[in-house]
Amino acid sequence: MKSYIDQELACALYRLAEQRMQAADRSMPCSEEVYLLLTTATPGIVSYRDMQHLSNPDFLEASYLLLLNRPLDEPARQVWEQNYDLPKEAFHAAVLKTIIQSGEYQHIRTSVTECPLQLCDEEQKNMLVASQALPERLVRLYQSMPRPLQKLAKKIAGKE
Amino acid sequence: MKTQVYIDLSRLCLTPFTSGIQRVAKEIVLRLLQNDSLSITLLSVLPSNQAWRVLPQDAFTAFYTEKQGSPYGTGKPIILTPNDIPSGAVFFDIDSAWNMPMHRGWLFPILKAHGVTIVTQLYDLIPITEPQFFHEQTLRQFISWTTAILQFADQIICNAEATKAALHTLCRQLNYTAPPCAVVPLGADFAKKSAELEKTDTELLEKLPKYGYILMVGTIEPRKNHQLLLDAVPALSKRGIKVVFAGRIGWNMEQFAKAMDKHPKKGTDFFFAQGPSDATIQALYKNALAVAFPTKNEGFGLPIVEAYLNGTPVLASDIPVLREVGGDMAGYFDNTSVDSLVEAVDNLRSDMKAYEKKRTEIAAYRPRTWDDTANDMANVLAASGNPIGTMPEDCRISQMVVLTARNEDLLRSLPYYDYCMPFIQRLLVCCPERNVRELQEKWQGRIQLDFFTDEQLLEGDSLPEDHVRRNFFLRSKLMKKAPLDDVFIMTDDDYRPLMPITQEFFLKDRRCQAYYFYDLTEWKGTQSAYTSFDLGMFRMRDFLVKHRLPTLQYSSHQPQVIVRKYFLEMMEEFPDLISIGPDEWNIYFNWCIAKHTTDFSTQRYCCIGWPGAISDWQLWCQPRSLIFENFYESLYEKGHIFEGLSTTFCADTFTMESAEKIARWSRELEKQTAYSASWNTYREMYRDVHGKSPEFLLTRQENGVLLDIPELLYVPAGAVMHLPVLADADLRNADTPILYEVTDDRQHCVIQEKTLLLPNVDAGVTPELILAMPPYAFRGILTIHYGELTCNCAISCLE
Repeated sequence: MKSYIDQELACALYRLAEQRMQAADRSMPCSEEVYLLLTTATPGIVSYRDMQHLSNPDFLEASYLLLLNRPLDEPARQVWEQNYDLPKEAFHAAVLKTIIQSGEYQHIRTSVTECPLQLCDEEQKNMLVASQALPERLVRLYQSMPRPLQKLAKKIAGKE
Repeated sequence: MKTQVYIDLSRLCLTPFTSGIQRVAKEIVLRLLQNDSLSITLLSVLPSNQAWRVLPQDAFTAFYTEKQGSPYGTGKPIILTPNDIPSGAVFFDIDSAWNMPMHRGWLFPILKAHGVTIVTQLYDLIPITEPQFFHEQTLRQFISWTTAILQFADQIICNAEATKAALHTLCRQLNYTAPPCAVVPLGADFAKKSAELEKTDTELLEKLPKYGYILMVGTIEPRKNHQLLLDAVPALSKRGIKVVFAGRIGWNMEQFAKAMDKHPKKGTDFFFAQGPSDATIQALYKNALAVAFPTKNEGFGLPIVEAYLNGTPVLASDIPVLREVGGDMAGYFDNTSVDSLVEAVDNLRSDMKAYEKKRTEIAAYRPRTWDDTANDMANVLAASGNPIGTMPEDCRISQMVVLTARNEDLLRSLPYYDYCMPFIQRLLVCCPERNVRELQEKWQGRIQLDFFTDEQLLEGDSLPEDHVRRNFFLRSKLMKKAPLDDVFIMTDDDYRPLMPITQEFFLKDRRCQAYYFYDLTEWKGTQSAYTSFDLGMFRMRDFLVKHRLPTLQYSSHQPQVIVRKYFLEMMEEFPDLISIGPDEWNIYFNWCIAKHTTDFSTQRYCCIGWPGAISDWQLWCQPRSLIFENFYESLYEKGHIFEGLSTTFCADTFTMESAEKIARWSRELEKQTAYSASWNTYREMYRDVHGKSPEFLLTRQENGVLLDIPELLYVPAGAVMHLPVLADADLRNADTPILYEVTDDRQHCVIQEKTLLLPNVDAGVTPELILAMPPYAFRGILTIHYGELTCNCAISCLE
């Protein structure tokens, strides 16, 4: 990860706030690791490699913050809590898939990179390959369309 | 010359009603736009969160003064990226930047690399000093933002002395040097809202005797400490004093709302006016005995000023910022003690004559105006920017310096300098002794040749083998020993101007112009076979990152201006540079931008022939204009870009040939832009389907090595595609390369098998598959082998 942030300073500030939260009988809203990830993130790009070492609860928290730009809501936390004991990879894939396929995510331009996990269903996966059979002129037309029109075109073609 | 100021107002533009910080930002920015000493550009972030659109000033002003149209205007938007903000400009954060998706930890280093001054308005540090009062998202973002401003801000503007003191206390606790601070108190002459047409809550107002109640106005949130006043209700009730809260229920106050609702004195001695009209608030102010602020902490305390403006006495928490704003006219109490609050109320009522006198004093109160605040802020901003550098006004560049061992190359380039750079009088040639005579004999032009031989330079020292190390070694010696001007142009023997230029190309507005072409942290080098140049770049990157210096890449293969004393100063700061063997351009300019910001201006490079073929690497930025040529003889051979053009200078054809070269190179650049747009469209499409970017990944999984590749690639015909392979560090070794080939759907080989070594020399660099696509359309398969693994990817090459 490319970052020029002074991580020592970032952590010192976090710990200072943490001490004060503890003095007020409260806890910090996220772990130091998740906080550092947010502080050094590149806008619009989420590298799975930077997150894959996180524990399942931290991964969940970070995924919401980085991909949806908002904290995890309580109902979602309650659902995911039941899956915390899943193996990391399975948990990560499930979280990312759920977020990416949500309606909320469709309005966000953040991209997941460096991710070997399968984040789409087999049917979806084949769609792009199938599109190769389309006449190239149609493909080029699709490419030149603005995003909303592309979505409409997909719907008309029965691909969505 | 005006100071250029860039202001990101993304939050203001997104907020449907302007209150709090957005209200302050609006009041100040509207006035800054009128200030003659500043040239303001207003920005609002784009959905990519990596660029802004420029807000047209007339549209912005019309929207925020007359509620007309939209702050974005109606014309075609102008897009700016952080790399577009010019050196010497000021980037001013006055909006709540911690809430912005363009993180300052990402943005500020980019601005600093360009010599942009960062000025930040600091309203308070309460999310750090009392984090328990804040929403978790605000807390997380505020701590991140504070890290960025402490590390990168050149100037902080605090709204109160108390805020400045809090910043200094924080920095002492962190053992960190605080950035320079100025204090500019906020104005408060808000335009009075017209409440004439609004209804008042007569039912409530009829229950409240004149001067018989304590009022608290504002959103009910934990920090405001409404609880203290609620706890004081019984004691105040005994004295015949009622309590009124006017505002909305804020975050995390559900329990308190219930407590208010069930309060035994509710409706008799305690009232809550939820979301009252402005007319009701004005009426409440008018008859209140006092307005109370039991707040735990405040950034500034504008509500105190608002109470004064309504002629109402104030009882406030005894905290520094409220004493600063409230002054002698307010009464103060301990915000943890009900008794202290009640005592303050008693004091106020003890002498009604004195009380009336206080009201008269308050009626005469005139707050500081927003005009005053904006003027003071404009002065700070104007003093922070550097529209003009500090290089001597009469600085004349007349010397150029070249290190060369190739007489023929230099003799072919000299006529170009002679013709196009009339301000250059002398060329200092640093070359082996044996080269001197031939140069003296063969050069008959205007520019005078001076010589400093390798023998004089080395004085018996041996030269390093490595090209990059040798270059820096020689230049360091040169700076110390050779007869150099204070400011001169450093060139190579094969950099040639394409048109007449003036000194302004190198020294403008008393600033040295530093031309960059890449960011070192993105430099990938020659795949499978790093050159000495690449290794030098990697060394340089690591050195600059380690020393927290910017990392723009200035080895732009065109002449650049050097200030000798700065080079020597840099050598003094890093005496072991020669042994590290850095690249001379990158270390020098990045260091200068960081240490002598006022004297340097970053510019995109201006040359053709770098890279030798445009497809050699993915361009990080396009040249600003085409002024120089990095001469490669091979580019003039048959089938290459400059085929048919002359490789030597001819005054009669020079202008026409230069124009032709520029046109051909520009066409290549345009093609690259089109390829890049096409590739980005494909990436978007792929992302929509797969939820992630199309990438080639080589990772170690629990059950072995995984080679994960996209199912389909759309690539433009004729393009040279650079496809990154993200490989785990432990899979990078020279023994197992990646092999790849492309065949079409008739099994004809389109791209013959190529080998990509996964170099373990530098784990910070991403290796790339390079596919030079033929200039025609086809469909086929890209096959990739890694050890025993084989993967296929459908490939659609579109014309």
